Amino acid sequence: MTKRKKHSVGFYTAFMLFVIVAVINVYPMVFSIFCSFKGNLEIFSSFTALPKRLRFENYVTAWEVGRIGRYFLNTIILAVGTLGISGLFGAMASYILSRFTFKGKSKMYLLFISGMMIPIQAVLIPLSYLFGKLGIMNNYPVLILLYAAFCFPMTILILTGFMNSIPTELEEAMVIDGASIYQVFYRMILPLSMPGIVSVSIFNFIQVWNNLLFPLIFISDKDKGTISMGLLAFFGEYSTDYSASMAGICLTTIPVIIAYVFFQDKIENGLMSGAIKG
Amino acid sequence: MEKIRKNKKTIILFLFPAVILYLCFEVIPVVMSIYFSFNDWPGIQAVPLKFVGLENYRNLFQNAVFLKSLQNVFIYVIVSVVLQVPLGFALGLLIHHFKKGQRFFKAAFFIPMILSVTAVALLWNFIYFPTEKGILNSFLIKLGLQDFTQQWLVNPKTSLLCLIIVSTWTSVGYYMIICLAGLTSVPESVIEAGQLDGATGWKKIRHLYIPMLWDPIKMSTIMVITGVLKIFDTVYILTPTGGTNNSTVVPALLMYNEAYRYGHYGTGSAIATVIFVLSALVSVVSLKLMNRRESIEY
Repeated sequence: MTKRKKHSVGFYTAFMLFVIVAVINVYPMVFSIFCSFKGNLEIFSSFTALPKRLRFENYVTAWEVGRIGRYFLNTIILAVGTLGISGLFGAMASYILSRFTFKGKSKMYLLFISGMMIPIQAVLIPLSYLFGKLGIMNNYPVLILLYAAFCFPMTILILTGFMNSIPTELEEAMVIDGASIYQVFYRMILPLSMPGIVSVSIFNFIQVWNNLLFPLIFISDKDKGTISMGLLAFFGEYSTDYSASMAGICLTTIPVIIAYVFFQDKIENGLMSGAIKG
Repeated sequence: MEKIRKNKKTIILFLFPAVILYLCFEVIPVVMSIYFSFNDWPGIQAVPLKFVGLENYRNLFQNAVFLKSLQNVFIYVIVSVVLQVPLGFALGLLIHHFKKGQRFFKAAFFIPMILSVTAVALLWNFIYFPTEKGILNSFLIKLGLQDFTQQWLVNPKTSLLCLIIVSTWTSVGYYMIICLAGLTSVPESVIEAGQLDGATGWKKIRHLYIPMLWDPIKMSTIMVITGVLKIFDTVYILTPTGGTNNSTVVPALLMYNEAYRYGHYGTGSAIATVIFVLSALVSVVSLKLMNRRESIEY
């Protein structure tokens, strides 16, 4: 009986704490949505009050002048390209590192994994020197390869671990039936590794989505800007137009929140796998 | 099968794309960056590199702003570790035992993590807004705490802490998820056995959960440290020049400004090398610690 009482005190304390943290976390999003519908004078009289009427024109400004839609699309293109390259090439390399035997295999694995401790600052200056020399600034294919290279350490770590847990007997049976090793890879290993590829791709997607330094330095053409730099530039140029800036912020945050609500478990698992295997 | 598993052609074909990209975009640039740090270069293609030996490093370690940036980043690291890991794990442990509305609270705690850093920093810009209309300031006024209102990001006494709070706000949910992932591998029976032995409250946490979650705790600590050592986005967006009296300047920001604002690419490379060496040191030391633990286990 006493135990039960104690439990309920803990329960209410925890509940109160959760509510407080949840309010702190959700509140900035709520006030940004409020502000995105207000006029500038209204914002300056109070950030937190409810809008007097819904001014959708702020969203039109953000979309057309701030070109948030364009930046959004650009970032999706970069991310999809990056995930394709890092997923396919990462899976190929992981297959070899998980199944094949050759001299220096463990060293090669270590070389890939140690890439996780390379901060992106360590490559910026040489790459801007080289890209300038070769005239390949503002070049999406090159940027996709660059992003993919930074995704390899985590991708290979997760996928090698994942493939190690796939029984080898299946492959042997396929080979006895006359399949080549390439057919084994495309028809069996790749489909069976899909859950791992999806998890690590979610992790990689967040890295690409959030990256500010690479686009800041390697993209000077505004038409090719990404969401993070586009939002920052829009905010800088329209620093007096707070309502449009707020609409811009909402345009980038709301789709992400909706995606999260739909794929909550997948996203959490993806980030967990990144954390636990590391 | 054995023969197939040693086939050189397959091995090379499958490894080639990843290896070549990794070499071109990570390994070689890192080596070049170290080489650049011994040179002077104004960032103009026509001007050749000029070898200056250790001069960039000598200047750097006599540069008060750089020393200040190291001091700031160490404060940033320590406060972040102390705040983020315990808060994240406390939330994780609590929510693990909390079945009602678990999905909603998990989502609410986790959402800041997946928003773009730019959007997050811009939002906090309004919270820290310097006038009495700013969200934090108006909240304090409503509570009758007028004396505590600040120009949060301008005042050198508060600016660094303000940035740390933004980073903490963003990351706590992530460490909560790591804690939950760790908890899935903790067998329920062990906890029950501990409870039967009289472990409750703090004792239960101290003697049961902390030892069993030691691996994820260690992992998270390393991730906080290496993440903060290279922190750039939040600092750059909220205080682009490094704050009043360099109160928020960090090495990554200094590196960006030196190279891309003032054209001191040699100095920039030297700072990049310092960041790289620091995070490599932390990672290697912690990996060593983890390996030692593993060898006891088996």
